[in-house]
Amino acid sequence: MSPPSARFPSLRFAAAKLGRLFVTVFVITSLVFVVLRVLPGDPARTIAGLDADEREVAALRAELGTDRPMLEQYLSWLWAMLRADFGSSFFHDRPVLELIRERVPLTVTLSVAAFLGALLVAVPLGVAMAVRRWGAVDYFGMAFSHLAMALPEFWLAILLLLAFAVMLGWFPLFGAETPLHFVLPVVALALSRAAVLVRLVRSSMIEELGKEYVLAARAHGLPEHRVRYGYALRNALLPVITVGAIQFGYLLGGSIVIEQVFSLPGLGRLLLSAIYRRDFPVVQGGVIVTAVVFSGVNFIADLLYSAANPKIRMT
Amino acid sequence: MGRHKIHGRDGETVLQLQDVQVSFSSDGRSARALRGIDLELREREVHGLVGESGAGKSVLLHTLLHLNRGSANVETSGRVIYKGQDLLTLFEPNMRRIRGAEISIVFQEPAKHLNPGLTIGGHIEDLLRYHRAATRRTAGARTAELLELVELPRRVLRQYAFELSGGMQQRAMIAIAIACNPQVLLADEPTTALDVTVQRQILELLLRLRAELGLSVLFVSHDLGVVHEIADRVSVLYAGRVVEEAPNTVAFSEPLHPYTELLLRSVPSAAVRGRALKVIPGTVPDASAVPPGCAFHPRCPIAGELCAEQMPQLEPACDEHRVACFYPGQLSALESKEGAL
Repeated sequence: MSPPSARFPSLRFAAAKLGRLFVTVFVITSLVFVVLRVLPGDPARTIAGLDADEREVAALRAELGTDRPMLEQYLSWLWAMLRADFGSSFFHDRPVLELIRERVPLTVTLSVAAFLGALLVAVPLGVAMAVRRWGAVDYFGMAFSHLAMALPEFWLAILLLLAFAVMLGWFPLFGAETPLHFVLPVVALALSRAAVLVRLVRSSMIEELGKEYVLAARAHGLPEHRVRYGYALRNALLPVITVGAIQFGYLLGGSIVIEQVFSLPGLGRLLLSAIYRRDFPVVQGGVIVTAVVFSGVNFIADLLYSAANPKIRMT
Repeated sequence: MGRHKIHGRDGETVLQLQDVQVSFSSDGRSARALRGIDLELREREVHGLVGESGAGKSVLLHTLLHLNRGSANVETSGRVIYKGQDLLTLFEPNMRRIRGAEISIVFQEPAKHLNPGLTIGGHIEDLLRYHRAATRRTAGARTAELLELVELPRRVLRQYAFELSGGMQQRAMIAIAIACNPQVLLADEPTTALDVTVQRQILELLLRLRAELGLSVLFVSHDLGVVHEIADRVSVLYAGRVVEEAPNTVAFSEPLHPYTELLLRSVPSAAVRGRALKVIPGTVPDASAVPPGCAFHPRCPIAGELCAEQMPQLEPACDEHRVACFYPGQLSALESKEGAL
């Protein structure tokens, strides 16, 4: 037992989590690989056009390699993956990695900004609600949470556009040139995440405030700010780390819709159009990147959680 | 009213409770948890406060430290005199400086009462920081000293509660509680959650600390055996009132209140060996429905008419022995007469 060195999670713990990350990404991408090919829709037919003759389409299939047995395609894809070769788009004639690299910064910026925004709203609001339960702030927060959870993101996005871009003209309508362009999409994405997180923070904080160690800290004369924010809040945020990571996943999914509404050239839009066109390499590449980002965030959350929770660190 | 002269006592009074009453009300229902507590804690004494669950032990401790929070409305009256001031009238900033620093407390389940995300050293540092304005560096020497005092190895400083055994947790809790050299230590059933051998070690530790640090200990417990072992004086609590108060040996050998008497008989111990264990019929009344007169009269074998009408006050029966009963000592007298017949 060596508690002092355990301020940070052990290497073995991190390695185990990392191994799990690879397995997750592998399973997800393999699943997507199979699903894409099982679903109706033929990329060769899409490229050639509906009125192209069968010979032409067959030639295209041979060129794309989609005429080969699925297992063979899968194995050659795996082999390419091992060499970090994501292939080329069926349509753009450009390497998938290049297409993705162009799009990732926007989506990541959007998601991270929305995530930070959601936390910035949820943590102080949730704590204020828990501290004065059934007070005015609590009712307001509950109303906010109900409302924001009930509104679908895309609809909220359209409302925001109508109100602040069209009617008031405070923000630009489309595009991603300036930071101003990002305000509305970030708000649209952040609100529903904040709605979920605020409830978690509130209930978690209420639970911690009711625990005996909080009473003991008060009984030993620690000032209330220390009891609340040094003791209760610190422990209350533990579940927020885990749930927050999952919420980040929702953000990645949500950004597909939001990018569509705000015409932002992000990864989500790239993926969506690739799915429509049955552009297998782009879809696969996009899913891999998304899966890696999502699992990566969860991996970091696991490390954070174990760094913050001494009980996990020991095991 | 409800207050009595103190006579024939040595040892300065550190903490004196006078007619302390506490009632809670919520949703139009009110519960009188404490109905006029008179209690005196003297310097360097271990005062055992005995009562069944529901008698008001926890409420009493919480009242002393101003910890009665929650949605229920709390009404408090009476006086708690400490160093010439009435604690019940203190405002929070002043009370905070007394809590933990001058009047400290040890709890029943140390595992639950220690912050799971903080090392034992962190707890101690926190108290020193907020009561003594110590920094992490200046706290170091004191922390090491405290661990030695409670006989814990130094590594415990960097350990968390869950890494320690129950006994070690309680030692750590005690180290935290006495970090600022308090005068008064409230002990809320500190040994109840521990097994018997560990229980004894903790009791011995408390007695040693009392001797070395000059602590005055208010030891609250439902366990008569433990109280008999550690206390100098004993007060018996029933339905929010002290019904009997006596030196330890007297309380256990010649109880005057029928409740104390019956309580002693209901516990398997050497004192009552040979007699059949008895159960007191009925239960402790709910604080929202305390019987009029003597709260014990519905369960009392010798209750008379007077007992249902008038509330007996805690009065001196003989030296150092006070009892709140109209027929003190009558229970055993009655029984020995019956036995003779």
